[in-house]
Amino acid sequence: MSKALLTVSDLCVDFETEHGVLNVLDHVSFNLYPGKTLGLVGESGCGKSVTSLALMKLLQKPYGCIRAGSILFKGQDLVQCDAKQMQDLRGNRIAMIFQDPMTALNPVKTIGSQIVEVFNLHRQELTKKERYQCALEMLRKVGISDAQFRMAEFPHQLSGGMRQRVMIAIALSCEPDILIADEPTTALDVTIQAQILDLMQDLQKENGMAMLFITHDLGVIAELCDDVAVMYAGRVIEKASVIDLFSQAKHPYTKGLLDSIPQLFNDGKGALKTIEGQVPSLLNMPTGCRFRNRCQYSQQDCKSLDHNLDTHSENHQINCKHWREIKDA
Amino acid sequence: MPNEPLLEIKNLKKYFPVKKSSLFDKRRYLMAVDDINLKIRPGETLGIVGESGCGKSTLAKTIARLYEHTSGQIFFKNTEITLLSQKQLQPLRPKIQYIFQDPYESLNPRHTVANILEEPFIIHTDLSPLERKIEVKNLLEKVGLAPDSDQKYPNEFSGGQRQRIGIARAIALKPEILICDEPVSALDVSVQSQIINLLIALQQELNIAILFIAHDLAVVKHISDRIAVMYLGKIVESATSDELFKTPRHPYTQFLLDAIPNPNPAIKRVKRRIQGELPSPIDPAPGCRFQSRCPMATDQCKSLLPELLSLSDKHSVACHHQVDSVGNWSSPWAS
Repeated sequence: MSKALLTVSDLCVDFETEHGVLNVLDHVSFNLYPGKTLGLVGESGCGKSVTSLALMKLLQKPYGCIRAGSILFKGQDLVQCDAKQMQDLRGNRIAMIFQDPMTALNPVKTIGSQIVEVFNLHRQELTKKERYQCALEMLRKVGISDAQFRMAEFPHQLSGGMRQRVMIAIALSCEPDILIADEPTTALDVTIQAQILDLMQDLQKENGMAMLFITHDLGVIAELCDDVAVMYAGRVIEKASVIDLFSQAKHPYTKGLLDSIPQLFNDGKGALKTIEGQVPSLLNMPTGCRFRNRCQYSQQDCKSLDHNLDTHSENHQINCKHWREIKDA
Repeated sequence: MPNEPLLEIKNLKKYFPVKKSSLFDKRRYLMAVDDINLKIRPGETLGIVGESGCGKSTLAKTIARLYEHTSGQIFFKNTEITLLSQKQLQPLRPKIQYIFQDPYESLNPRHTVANILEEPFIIHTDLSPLERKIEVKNLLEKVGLAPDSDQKYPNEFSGGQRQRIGIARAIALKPEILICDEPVSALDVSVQSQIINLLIALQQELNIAILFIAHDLAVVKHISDRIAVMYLGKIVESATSDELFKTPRHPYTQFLLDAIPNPNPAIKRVKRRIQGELPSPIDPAPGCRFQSRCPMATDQCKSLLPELLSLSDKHSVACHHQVDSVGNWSSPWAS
């Protein structure tokens, strides 16, 4: 495998609240490779979005802070970077697409001026006219018809799918090395979602960027990603290639998650398998394995599990003491 | 008779008037629900799918008479409920209950769970306070919540638990039909499956008919006996759920099924994609509603609105080209 573009190792993020310090991310590690897509999957509250915000150093101050770990991007540790350095990277080398395009776009500025803004910040060598031309070119690239006309429109005049296309145009206008997409299609219909996913895949092929794709939809992961990291309560509990994860998941939580999706090709309506109970509160996290109070295989020694991943094969790692003993159903 | 429909809808229409830009403009209408016929039998689940803006929720609200219909008839057990006044409807309300999408907004944050669940009994029965208390505890147990959690407020529960409270409230008065408007789309996968299992179990126990609205086709397929596909206020295809997923006839249904992300990365298939987006439902052009995005559209589709025709007792479709469309479909899930 080629050299990693971004290496996140042992990233820990704490949030200070009035109820105490919440350990939101606990030793999260993963790599992003050029031209590849890593899917980050998990239920709400597991720390997916915090991971993406931490990478961009957009954690809300003074509550959230990176306690430990490093984020290496081209030999530079982003954790040590100051605000000025981050600003040069953000939107330029590392770009992000947010879930809700209506709140992410500025409602009182035209589409055109919001794309040109990126060039104003990061491509100051271009003339004003060139910046406008580049923005127009980006709109065409993301499949917006009548681009010239749309440049002068405001976000509320566009449909949800179009807005998300504009978000993608803004994110990709400086041809970033890394694109972080935080649930970019969750607010969209399946037909529009399919169009947007196709578009993202095409654009990735074109400029070979690395993608971190955050979602809770396992179907989207299966269609789009090369590798997957499954998160649970602030930890990565299983990492594997997409084929391995769907065919031979090892962690009991991943297995449970896969079993609980209704299958399209099965007949009849038998009961779905479920994972009993709920995600524990961050204030009241069990010691050791964070999944153990919902896990049917949990044993006494699960109370002392650490965050290290056990290796199954080079690309497949599991954070569970007993995965070898769990038989496939 | 078991085949007697519990709920029957005939030519139901719901038009919303659109604000005129000038006094002399012709009044225009948004045709949210346009000429829909449906039947639901006792204990059956009918799923309704479609993109946002196709009129699914309006249909549900019109059936529950939360919206007043424009024209058409709704029969509940041979009573035409569209003729009743809201007051005359009151005794029937317990029989038709509603579960809402967002469990954060549909529960009053200032009421305890006991208050929320007691209310149906106060309005519709003459149980004593003590009897009501027992009923509330029974309900909580039935939906899998701790019976002693009745003094808590909604904000003390998680999303899945709140949806359980919503379900408990809906089944409190032993309804015969439940209208579920996207009941699981705000929930996580693992919680979603718990709620679906609960709904199916309650349905079997109490023999409730369910009108299930969702945009997640896998969920609808799992829970429904029959599925109706809506597009711009019209039903374009309806069939038993197995039949619909095996042999979809309408080009729109085929595109919709093809757009579902398949949770099996081993299958890499050529995907057909629908182009463009849902057109405006305000005064749609004559002819088939889907013609603007349909690859099979001909001149006939532009002028003549296709009727929903029965192919068999399990399957009806509204498309001029339904005979030719069969060849376009190859199931992405065939193993």
